[in-house]
Amino acid sequence: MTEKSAIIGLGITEMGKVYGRTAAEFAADAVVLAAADAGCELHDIDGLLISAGVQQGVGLGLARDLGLRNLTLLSEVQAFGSTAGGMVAQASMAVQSGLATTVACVFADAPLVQGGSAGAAYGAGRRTFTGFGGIAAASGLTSTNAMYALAARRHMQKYGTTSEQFGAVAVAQRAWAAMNPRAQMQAPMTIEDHQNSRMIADPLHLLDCCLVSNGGVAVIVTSQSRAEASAKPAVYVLGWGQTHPGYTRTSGSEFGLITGAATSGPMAMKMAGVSVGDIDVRELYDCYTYTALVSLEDYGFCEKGEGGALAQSGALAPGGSLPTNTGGGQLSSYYMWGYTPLSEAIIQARGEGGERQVAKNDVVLVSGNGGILDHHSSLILSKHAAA
Amino acid sequence: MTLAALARDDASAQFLDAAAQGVLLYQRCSACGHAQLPIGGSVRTRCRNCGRNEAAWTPASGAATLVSWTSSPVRTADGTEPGPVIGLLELAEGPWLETQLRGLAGAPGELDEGAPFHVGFEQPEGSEPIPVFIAG
Ligand SMILES: [Zn+2]
Repeated sequence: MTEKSAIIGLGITEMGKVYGRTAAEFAADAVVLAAADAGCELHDIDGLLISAGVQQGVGLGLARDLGLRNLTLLSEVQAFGSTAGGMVAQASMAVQSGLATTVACVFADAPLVQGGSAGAAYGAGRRTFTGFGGIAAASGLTSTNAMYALAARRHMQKYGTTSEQFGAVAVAQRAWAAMNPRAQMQAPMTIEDHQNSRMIADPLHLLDCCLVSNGGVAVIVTSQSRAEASAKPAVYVLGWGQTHPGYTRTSGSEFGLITGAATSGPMAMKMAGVSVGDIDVRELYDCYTYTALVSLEDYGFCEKGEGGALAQSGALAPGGSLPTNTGGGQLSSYYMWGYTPLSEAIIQARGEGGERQVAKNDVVLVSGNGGILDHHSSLILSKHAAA
Repeated sequence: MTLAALARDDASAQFLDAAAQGVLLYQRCSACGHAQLPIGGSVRTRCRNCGRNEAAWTPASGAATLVSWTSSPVRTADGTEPGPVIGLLELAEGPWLETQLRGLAGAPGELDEGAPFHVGFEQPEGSEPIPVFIAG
């Protein structure tokens, strides 16, 4: 039987409005922190997988920046918000096949500039609208916010989901963030605050949208036998899956209604030998409140279309029956693509969540979602080598 | 905000020539019958259903229904004002297209999925004609 893989190191740099450092520097810092956390030396790293964020400010040169000389695996990985799950899967297969023994996976981004607005961070440089693809852009559909708004609106129309229900996701996550010292947003939030926050792209309010952050996160993946001898409690990678729904953009498309979670979730759970009822902690990709809500439905934590009611029930919040996005997620803690849910999953599985630690933490689900719902990944992590 | 300017490229030339005549084109695959609109400009005639290179431009009826919509406030000197309403429309022939909506009676909140629209064309200064969809 193939040996399991495990995460033995986690490195998180300073997060948020941290200026004067490049994405490459954040990435190098994160790898150094992760290696120290794992109790290994930099020269022990023989695999390096790199994910650059929106700004694409880190690349293969990171290996040289870190002085790594023993690499038998080096690659950039890109599937937008689903990248992290794919990287952990790829690292796991690398250690299982013998391609490498100790693989660092890293994400870093530095879109924020001192004195600049969050919008300016990603909107720099006005494009010329050309050709068929330019029609939507010339019509004003230029932002990711607006494209997710189309998806969220469709969900509202089909299932009766309301803005207040999206707000319930944001409020629950803020309550978790209040207990996360790394979270950028810790002030208490009410549904009223959510409803009164300015409209970004109808139906999405400001408090439906993720943050913008500078920083980096890295993890170290190794084999089970090495993990058993590691400094920190190992977090085993029991299952993974990825799907890319390929919405047709024609009649009958499920865009906005059913996401890749509906297929990548069962794939990861089957591999891990768990079912949805076995999952103790959910760390779900939340570029928007809507994304977390629809993922809960598609994973099967409630009936299809009941995500809004589930959020309103309080189940996702501290003390609820389905603790979800326990660090505050990308809405309230920090925006590191899939490394936000991945990092919090490792913290929870290790039992290092402090005030926000979930008591039952045997099985943790991590999701990733990228593009405009085009890419999806799932991971099942556990402090146990077998579920 | 009104429409921004649109420039043509080789892949969109036929579509835009028809638009100048008030005709909306879509693509139908002569091999499998699949109806589509191109997503970007780089793949011109490849059918996304059967993979053959036989998606040919065909006149559409111009009728469509609303799938979804959004609107973002626009910044002005004094603050913000309501921005255009952008619709995701399904042509009667099946393909989806995002563009601005016209002739709305009420606020965007009063729109409904499935509402009927029909195509029109507007040509901003220095731009190719751009399809918009008019309520009704
Ligand atoms: Zn075809």
